Amino acid sequence: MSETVVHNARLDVTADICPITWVRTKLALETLETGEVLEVLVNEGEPLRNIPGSAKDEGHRVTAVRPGAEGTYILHIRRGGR
Amino acid sequence: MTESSSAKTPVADLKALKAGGFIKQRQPDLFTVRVRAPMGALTAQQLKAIAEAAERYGNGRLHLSVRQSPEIIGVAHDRFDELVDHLALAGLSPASCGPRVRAVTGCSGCAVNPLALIDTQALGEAVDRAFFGQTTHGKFKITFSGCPNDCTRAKCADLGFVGMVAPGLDEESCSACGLCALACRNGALSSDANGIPVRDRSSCVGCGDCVRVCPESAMRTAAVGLAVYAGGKHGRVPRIADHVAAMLPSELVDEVVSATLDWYRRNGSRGLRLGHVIEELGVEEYKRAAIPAPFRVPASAQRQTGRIVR
Repeated sequence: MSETVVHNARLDVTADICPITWVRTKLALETLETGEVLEVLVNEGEPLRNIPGSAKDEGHRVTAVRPGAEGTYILHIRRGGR
Repeated sequence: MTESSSAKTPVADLKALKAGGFIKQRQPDLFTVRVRAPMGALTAQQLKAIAEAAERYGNGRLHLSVRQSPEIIGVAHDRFDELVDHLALAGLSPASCGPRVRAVTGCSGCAVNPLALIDTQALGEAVDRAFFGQTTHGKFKITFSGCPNDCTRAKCADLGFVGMVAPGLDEESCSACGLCALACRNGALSSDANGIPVRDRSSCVGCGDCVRVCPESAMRTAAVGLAVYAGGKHGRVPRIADHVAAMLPSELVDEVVSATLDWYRRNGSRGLRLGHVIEELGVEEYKRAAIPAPFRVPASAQRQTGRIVR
């Protein structure tokens, strides 16, 4: 889980609130090919709770989670198959 | 249509009318007719029938009650029978008011809502079928919420049921990523020396956030049940319900409703709500009478409801 994975795209949703955090993440994932990784910078709290669950529901896979700058976290989400 | 629908029949028994969901208006001879929509659920066809009824028998306007019942405004008392027949064709009937069990309310539940942990719609409809309209000492409101977020305010109902899960960890699959602990809003999860989450049962409300976020599906739903809240009310003096049961299996819901109504009828008197009786006799006595022992929440573990806990 803690392995360093090169990401194929990066997204910062720290200026957004629910549900836009997930909507933007979802749209970004849709631009990737299966198996590619999206790095998402999120605030702690609600997005950290909702984005991983929504990603899992839609067949993607959270491959890493680590703290970012103060109050933020970095998620790596590997795009699932269609 | 029956004889009683004749315009000559005086509105003699307001109480009887109110029992059937006919509510007196400020305007003489006009009533608001509350339509029973258990769990706030209606088909499009039923909504059309209600709209037609409002145009034909009312003044073309509706109001949505705070407990999910559509109300047809401005119905003359001599059109009650026609209106009831019209509603019956769509499988609808008037709701209740007065001192009785009201239509059961609830959220859309796990068939629709991704956060819901139980099938509120099916559970609530079954309770509505079994208990709707029964006479009690005061209003008796039953509400179901699919998860501890409790959007439908089960904690303010006479009897509230809230979906919950008992999470269980498959340590073999756990990658120690820590996401479950970060996601937990109640601080119920902490990581041990190896990064494996440890759950503090007394802080866990059973919302299932940890299960939903776990990338490895190592945190799993070990069991699903209901938290039960009793004795809540709004009105002039609101009262937050007592947290009386946890992880109640859904098969026991009817038994709890039935035992609660029995205890309330035995120990209450006209005009008192369940919350009043619980205040008088103590919540422990209520729990002994109405909640099966394995699922009772001990007084020491009763969830704090009077202050905001983060």
